[in-house]
Formats: sequence, structure tokens, C-alpha cells
Amino acid sequence: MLKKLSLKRYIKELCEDENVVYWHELEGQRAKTVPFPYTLDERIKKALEQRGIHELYTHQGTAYDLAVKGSHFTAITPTASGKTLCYNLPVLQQICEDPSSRALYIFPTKALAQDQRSELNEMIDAIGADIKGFTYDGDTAPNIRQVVRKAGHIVITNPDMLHSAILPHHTKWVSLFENLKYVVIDELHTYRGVFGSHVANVIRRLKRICAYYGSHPQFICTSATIANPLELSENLTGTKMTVIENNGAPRGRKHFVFYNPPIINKPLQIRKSTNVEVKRLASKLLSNDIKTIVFARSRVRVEIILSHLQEIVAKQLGRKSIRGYRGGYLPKQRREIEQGLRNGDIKGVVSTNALELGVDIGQLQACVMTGYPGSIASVWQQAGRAGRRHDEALIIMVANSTPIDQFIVNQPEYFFEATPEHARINPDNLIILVDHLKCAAYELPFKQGDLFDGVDVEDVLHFLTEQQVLHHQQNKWFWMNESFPAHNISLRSAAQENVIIIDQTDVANHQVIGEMDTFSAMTLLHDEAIYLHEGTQFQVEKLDWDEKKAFVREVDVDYFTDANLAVQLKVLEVDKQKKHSSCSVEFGDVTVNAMATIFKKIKLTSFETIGSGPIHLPEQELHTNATWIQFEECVQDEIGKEELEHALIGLSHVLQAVASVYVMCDRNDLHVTPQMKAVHSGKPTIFLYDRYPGGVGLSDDVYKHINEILTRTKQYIEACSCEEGCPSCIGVGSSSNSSANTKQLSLTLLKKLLEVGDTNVFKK
Amino acid sequence: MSLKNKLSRMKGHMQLDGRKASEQEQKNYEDHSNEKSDAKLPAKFNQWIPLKGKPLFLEEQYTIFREIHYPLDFQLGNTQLSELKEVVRLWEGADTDHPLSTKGIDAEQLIFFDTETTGLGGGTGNTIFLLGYCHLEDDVVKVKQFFLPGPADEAAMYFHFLQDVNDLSNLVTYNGKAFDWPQVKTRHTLVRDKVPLLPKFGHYDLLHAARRLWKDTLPSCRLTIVEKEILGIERVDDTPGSLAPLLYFDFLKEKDPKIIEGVLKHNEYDVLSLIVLYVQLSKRILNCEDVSSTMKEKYEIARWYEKVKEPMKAAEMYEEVVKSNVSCRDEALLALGLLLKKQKQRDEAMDCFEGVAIKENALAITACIELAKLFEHQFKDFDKALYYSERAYEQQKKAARLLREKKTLDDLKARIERLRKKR
Repeated sequence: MLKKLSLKRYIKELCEDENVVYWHELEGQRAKTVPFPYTLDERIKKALEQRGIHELYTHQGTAYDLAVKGSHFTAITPTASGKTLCYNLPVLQQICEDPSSRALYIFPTKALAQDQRSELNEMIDAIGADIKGFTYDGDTAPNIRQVVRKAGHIVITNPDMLHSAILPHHTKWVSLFENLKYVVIDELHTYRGVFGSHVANVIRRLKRICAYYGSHPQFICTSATIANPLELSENLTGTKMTVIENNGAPRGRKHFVFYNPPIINKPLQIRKSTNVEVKRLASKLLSNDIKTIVFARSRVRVEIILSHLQEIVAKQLGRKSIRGYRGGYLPKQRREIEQGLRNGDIKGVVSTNALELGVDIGQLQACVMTGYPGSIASVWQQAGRAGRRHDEALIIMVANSTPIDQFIVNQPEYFFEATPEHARINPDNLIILVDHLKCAAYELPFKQGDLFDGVDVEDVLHFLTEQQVLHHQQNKWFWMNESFPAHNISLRSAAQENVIIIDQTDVANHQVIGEMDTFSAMTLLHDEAIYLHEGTQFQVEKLDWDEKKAFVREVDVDYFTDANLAVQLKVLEVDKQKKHSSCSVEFGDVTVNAMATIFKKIKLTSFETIGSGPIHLPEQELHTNATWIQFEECVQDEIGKEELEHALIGLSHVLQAVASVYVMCDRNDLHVTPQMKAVHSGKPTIFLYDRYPGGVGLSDDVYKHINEILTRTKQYIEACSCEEGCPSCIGVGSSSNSSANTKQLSLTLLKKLLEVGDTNVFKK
Repeated sequence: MSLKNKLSRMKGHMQLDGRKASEQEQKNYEDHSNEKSDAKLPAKFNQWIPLKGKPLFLEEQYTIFREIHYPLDFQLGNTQLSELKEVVRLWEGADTDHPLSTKGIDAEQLIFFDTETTGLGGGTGNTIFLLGYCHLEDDVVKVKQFFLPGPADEAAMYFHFLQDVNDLSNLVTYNGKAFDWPQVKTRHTLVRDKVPLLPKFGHYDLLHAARRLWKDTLPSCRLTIVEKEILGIERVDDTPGSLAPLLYFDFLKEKDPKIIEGVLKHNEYDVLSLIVLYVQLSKRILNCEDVSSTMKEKYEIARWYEKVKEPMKAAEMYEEVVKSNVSCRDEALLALGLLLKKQKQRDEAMDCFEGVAIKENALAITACIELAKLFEHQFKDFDKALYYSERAYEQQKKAARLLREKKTLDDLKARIERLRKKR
């Protein structure tokens, strides 16, 4: 039998691998500690000591002090830095001092809440006090719910539950709301975009109910590293915050390796498959008994990599020692896997980013990422999985052939020096605000002069009265409608009305397999469309637009469908502007009219069009914010009309990718549309607009950072090794017979734009 | 851009569940906002007089109170209201602790209670706009209703309602346990500083009773259906309860009591038919001669008695069903057998089981198994035990093919093998 390599030896061997394109070492850090605060309850001290904790890390100490002083704070805590003590200590101390006190913990997912409950309860058992911590979510049995409401000291839940089950029924939670001392919001950085804007309004409602019952809880947030933790936490909670950054937890040395698979097809720049390379690297780690986690972006990939790895190491370690971990697993399965990892029965895990969040899975030594996970914050989160305490750890990111991946591995300094992404929310988005005002009015009537956490909402209340949702009497607005508003408002979906996708392959047993917003459904779920769901092909048999249902059936065909969306943009108002002689960048309100026109059937292997058909769906209208880039006529004269058109299309292609990475959103949340003659100005323009009605601040963000985005776009196109444009940068090279090089033209446009920057900025 | 413009521009993106206001409605609405200055004198108040409504004040607020009397000889469907006194007397004399029993309670203490709300479900924002109840007092049935003239008057409504009924320990409702009462508690919480505490309450929920007796025979156990099919009540010109929220919203705009009249009437009849329903249920449960209850009802009542641990009462009822010739006879016979077995009356139990065992249905299998057990363990007659085991096995095998149920079959196999050895 071969001798097993230690991680150290393995790292040495890997150093010599020629495909390693970059090696970065992160130095370890010794623990920085402070003694237990003298006010800390003796029982808690003892419980900590039992668990081998004799001092606090500096950030935990600061958190305790701030909490005792009554400050609201946000602790920035990398993975495995003992963040739970930042809130558990002050909360438990408070309950020990005054057992009538209550605390509310909010985690973004059910799984995290469950995980935290078991950790919290171990701690409570060690303290030996009569403190009750319960989870309250969709799985909580009805007979237990009553106990939780009345007697739970610490209620652990998620924002969706708070929104639709706790706040609308606040009269059943009187003892919680009367005595609420702390609200803990963990994983703060996940509350961004539409979801974050919704949650911010849920918090506004929570504060309103607390005030009604006479409590004014303190907010404690914890967050992974993002660029703007203070701004985000203050926007989310509507409260002045202090940020704690003096992380005192020890860190082992980390080796961060960028691995670029070898090129196997030079002319097409195609590299060896990431999956194959990941499998090879991971199986070597695992067979040397190095505990490893492999991340893949999709569920299907997880399953593929998992089955291969299991086969490879089956004989040596046993099939069960490597497990998959992804969103679709049942809670029980997930618990079992987490347990197995902690006690060592499981050596390796293949996971989607479901594990990105702080579920504690014990100590892993190596982490392998299948491609760039999409954001810098995600990389750090995933990397944090390896080497959770003192030991050395290895992180390997295996790059894809896609431009983003290539960009990152080839310009590693961008990655290691970049500030992490900003997380933006826009709680005052009118659509979202109105949604939650309805819920708030349902919960308690509004009085004349009442603010909604500082926001004057009287106009909205009048509006809702006109719409016969509220009733105005004696200077108060009362809910006066049959519906239960929270049920119709989902915190996680961008659009209010979604198309439900129903699989009718099994005639006797129709199943809902997913949902999609109406805007996307026009092009992806029209009659006869081929819809891909987790790697399976379905054909849409009928799209019932009125009922918002798409009926699909599983098929096996060798083509996909691609629909044309005719988009019209009307600028309603310009709010901000940066001008230059030949171009300008503007931001404002727009109306988007979109209509799906025709679709093409395209053969999978050859990309040739093998059929087409019309789409009959009504036009959709969307009012939102946009940032647009507009060129003067002189540019067209200079470059030529047809050439300019190609350049605009090409540039849009790249801008979409770069801008969505930059503002930290999903590709579908930010749309990009080029227009040769914009309706409002008649000039060649590229629009970048928020896909959500009213906008959630994405295009605003694009406007603010347009220079960086354009610079990145330029670097990105330049870095691509193609000659005249390829699918991974500006799209397929120009099909026109003109001799101009579209790639060069796109760069020309960018250069003109980059001159805009400093000149003449005015605000309305 | 002003917020107003934005709001109207984005209207299409919002989920506004409100009905589209017609221009006329809009205008009416605005008219009212001008009128509301004189809060003391309710708008269009004299229109309440024909409906017997009068205001009861609490500081600035008021509730509309209606009281209507019905004589005891009032006939509703197949029942006279006076029969309530009769069944309360019967319960007093009956030897049972059945959940519907009023033993130790006067007929006057029963409060037949129902609410009307602005929506379904149990959220905080679902407002109760009508609290109605009826009870027996001085040999008349008095219906009393407390109506909410506007959402800002809630404290007045609860205040006067709670002043009026100080004893809620014998509440009779239809689904009140799950809906009306929790909702009263919810809304009461919102005005708790201004009104008396909610007293302790006890509950007879007739929906549960109705479900027990009729869920297999009626298309649904909605009160209107029970009224029609069981109580002989045919409502004329009734306003369906589902319209109540919309009518109430209209009333709030127009302030015209005529709009809400139908809902008040509906609620009035609801509480009255609760009396009738209570009488009819009680008579069936007490097995009174003067009601013609069906064997199915008797069977279900027997099961209920069994559930509440009154086996003697249950056996009595089962025996009646067994003597008949209805479809649930075999079920009753089997149930009776099991009941007798528990009472250790084994010979009688055996007779029951044998009566079922000769049949060709799923019950026969259970009966055969029971017989096998009796013969094996009590009478020690292994031949007979084996006979019945094999019989059960054969029948179960037939059924198992359809049901794919293996456990019983395996158990039987084990039993047969054991018996063969014992023999």
C-alpha cells in the first residue's frame, strides 16, 4: 500500500504542477484575546470553561461591551471566528439577569436556524438555567407553536416566517413583543437586492409592532466581509450602528491556488474540462485522507462530480465517506451529513453554494472550487470552509474556459486587491414599500402623522384608501379588505406575479416544478419553447397567460429555442447626467415595453436554425430605473452606421456580464438593451435597467461606478485572446461583410466613454 | 417626480386587491370624508331606527346595538324554540358526561354565539364587525347584536358586548373553537386597554358534532346545508355569509344601514338556528323517541360514546343498529363485538364476530382474526382458531393483491404456523 501524503507534502507536490498559474499565501494570525468581562454571569463563565473557552477573542469582547452599553452593532466575522458568541453572550447574559427577557434570531434559511438552535441549546444545557430556545418555521408542529409563542426566550426564525406568520399574528406573541430585548440578524450580507429591500421593510414592521407593545430592541448583526457593512446594516435596520472589525480569532496559514486547465484546442482556445480536473485533484486529496470540500455551481454538476468521486474512492474509503450536499436534500439528510462531517465519518463533501452560509460542518483541510463562483465574497466564503481553526489549509480554484474565469486567473492581483462587493438595498422602492405598508396596516392601523420607521407615508395611505384597501376614519387608516396581504407577497421573488411551471409528463400526477417571473416567461416559457430544468429538457405545451401557468412535458430533442424580445424604452425623466462632447451617461426613470415576437429552434450541435414560429403574448410594461450610455451623431458619422450597430450589440454583451458582477446581482436582474435610435433622443444608446418595477438600486449603482465598470469592460475585452470577437467576449464576430473589426470598434467606443468621467457632472 | 405621480404610474405593478372604485363611489367616498367631522352624531343615523338599531357610546366611539325577541313557541324548521328547555332538562336527568351535556347548567346560561368578519383566516387585520348572540331569558329568546359602525369604534363594540354578557362559560358556536373565538381574542388584544378583560369561556362547538354525525352523508357540513337537510330550515332571501365583507365595505362608504341589513338578518338566523341544531343534536344523542334519527346517525353516536369512554351507552346504540338492516350494520356488529371483548363478555363478543365473519368483506377479515384470537387464547380451541386464521388468510390474500398490504398477511401466516404446531 502506498504511503499517504500529508497535506504539507501534497502542497509541495502541487507547487510543481505546471497548470498552477498563481500561488498566494495568506499568513496565519495568532489569537488576540481579552479576559471574560467581570459582569458576565458565573454560570455562563462556567459553561464556557467547560467547553474549553477561557478567554474571549477581542471582537467577542467588544461585542459584549457594546451590547451591555445598549448600542446596536454589526460584527464583521469571517467563517469560523466564533461569531455566535458575539450575540449569544449578551443575549444569554440578559436572560440570566432577567428571565422575562426575550430575543429574536433571524437567519436567512431554515437550515441555518436549525443549526444554530442545536448549538445554542448545547450552550444553554451547559449553563443549566431554565432558558428555552426554539426554532419557529414551517416545520414547527402546531402543538409546539403555542409553547414557542408563550414561553420561548429565544425564538429562532427566518425573514419569510416573520413576514407571513409572526407579524400578521402579533396578538398571539404578546409576551415576545412586550419583552423583546435583542433582535439578532445573522448573515447580514445575504440581505441585498430585492430580497434585502423586502427584509428591510419587514424589520420596519417589526419595529412598529415592538413600539406598539412598548419594547425597543437592540439590533445585533453579523456579516461576512463586504465593502459597506455599516451602510447595509443601517439601511436594513433603520438604526445607527457601530461596526466591530477587530477580529481576534486565530487563523492558520492558507495556500490559495489558481489552477488553469491545459489548452486542448489551440485555435478555439478550449481548455480541458473543469470537471475532469476537479475530480482528479479532489480524488487525490481524498485518497490521502485529507478532508476536502468540493464546490460546484449547479445541482447537476454536484451530482456528476459526486458519483465519479464515489466511484474512484469507493474501494479505499467506502462510498458513504463522500456525500453530496445541496439545496434539494431533505432537512434530515442534511443534518445527517453535517453530523457525519463533524464526527469524521464523512471525509469529503460535494456541495452547491448551499454550504456557503455559516452552517458549522467542522474542520476541513482543503477546498476545491469548480470555476469562479460568481462573486468575490462567495470565493472567500467558500475558501473559509477549509482550515477553520489553526491548521494549514489549501484552496484550489479550477478555472473554466469562460471569460470571467479566465479574467480572474490571469489577473490575480485584481482578485486579491479588489475591495469586496457592495451590497445594496433600496427599502424605499415604491412597489416594495407599498406591499409592506399594506401588511403593516393589516397589523395595526396607521394614525395621522405616523411615520413608517421615519418615512412619511401619508401619500401612500391616501392612495391605498382610494384603491379601497384601507379605510380612513377619525384620522386613522384601517385595513379594510378581505385578503391576507402577506400571503401574496414573497420576499424572495423579484416579480409579484409569477408563472407556475407544471410538469404533466405523468398524466395522473401533475407536478409544479418551478416558477418564473412574467418578464422572463415571455421568452422562456412561450408555447413550444424548450425549457431546461435541472438539466432535463421540457417542451412547453401550453402557456396559459391569464392564469399564469405553463404546462410542460419532458422531451428529448436535439435543439433549443431562442426567442426575440422587442424592447422599447421610453425615458420619463433624467435625474443625473455626465456629459462629454461625443457621448454622455445618464440615469433616470424609464418605461420598458417588451413584446416577444418570434422564436427560433436551433440545433444543439451545429447552432443552425431548423425552424421558427410566432409568439402571441401581450406586451408587458415595466416602470423602472435605468442608466444609459448615449452617443452623439458624430460618432456614427465617424464609425459608420452598420459598424456602430454591431459595436453597440457587442459592447452590451460584455457590459451585462461585467455590470452584473460589479453590482453583485443575478444576470437576470439587470438587463442591457442597445438601441440605434433611442425614442427620447434619436441617438445611439445602450440602456442598463433594473428588471424589478421601480428599481432596486442596481442601475443607480451602475451609474455611480460607471467608470470602473467601463474600465473593467475594456480590460476584459482586451484580455480576450480572440481576434475579432468571440462568444466569450463581445459575442459572435460581425456577420456583416464590412471589413471593420467589431472588437476594435467596441474598444474605440469604450475609450470615448472613459473620457466622460471627470467632466461636467450635474444633478437634479 | 412627485410620489403621487409615481404611485399612479406604477399602479399596474402593485397587487391592489381593492375593488376598482367607480367614479360614483369615489365621489361618495369624498363626500363622507367631509362629513365625518361631527363624530358624535352618526351619519344617516335615523335610518337605523326601522332596523331597531340604537347607538351605545364609549367616549368618542359608539356601537350599534340591536335586540330582537322571539317567543318560545316560535317554530324554526322542525323545531320550536321551547324545546331548548326540554333538552336541557333531559341532559340533567341523563346518566352521561357527553361533551354536549348541559348537566348542572340552566338553559338561560347557554350563549349561542356567532360573528361576522371582514375576511377569512386568523390574522390580526381580519376585523370582526358584528358580534351576535342569542339566549333564553324570561321565557323569550333574545337575539342581541353589537355592530361596528366604523373601524375606529372597536373599543365601544367590545366594551358593550362584554358589559352585556358577563358569563361566557357556556358558549355554543359553529366552528367557534377554531375561528370566532380566537379572532375575538386577537381583536380584543388590540383594544385591551379600553375594555374589560375577556372572561373565561367554555365551549360547545356544534361543527364538531355535526361532522361526527353527518360528514359521510352530507355534501358538506356548512351550516346552511345542515339547516336545509337536517333542521328543515329553508332560508328565504338570505344574504350568503361570503358576501358579508363586501357589503360591510360598501356600508362603510355609504353609511346606509340598508346595505348591511341582510348581513344582520343572516347573523340573527345563524344564532337562532344554533338553538335548533343544539336541540336536534341533543335529542339524537339522548336517543329521544320524538326524533327519527337514522341508523347511520345512531352508529356515529355510538362511536362518539365509545370515544368519550361511555361503553354502556355505546353498546346500547350499537345494539339498535345491529337489529336493523342498514349498510353500517356490519360495522356496528364488529364494533359491538370489540366493545364486548374489552368488557370481557367473550361469548357475546364471539356471537358478534361470527355474525360478521360469514360475510365477504374487509370487516370479515378483522372478525375472523378476532375469532382466531378468542379461540386460540381464551377458549383454547385450536382447530377453530386455525379455521378462522386460514379463512382470514384467504380473504386477506385476495384483498392484499389490490391493497398491497403485506403486514397483516405476514402476521396471519405466523399465526397459522403457530396454531399448526399447537395442534
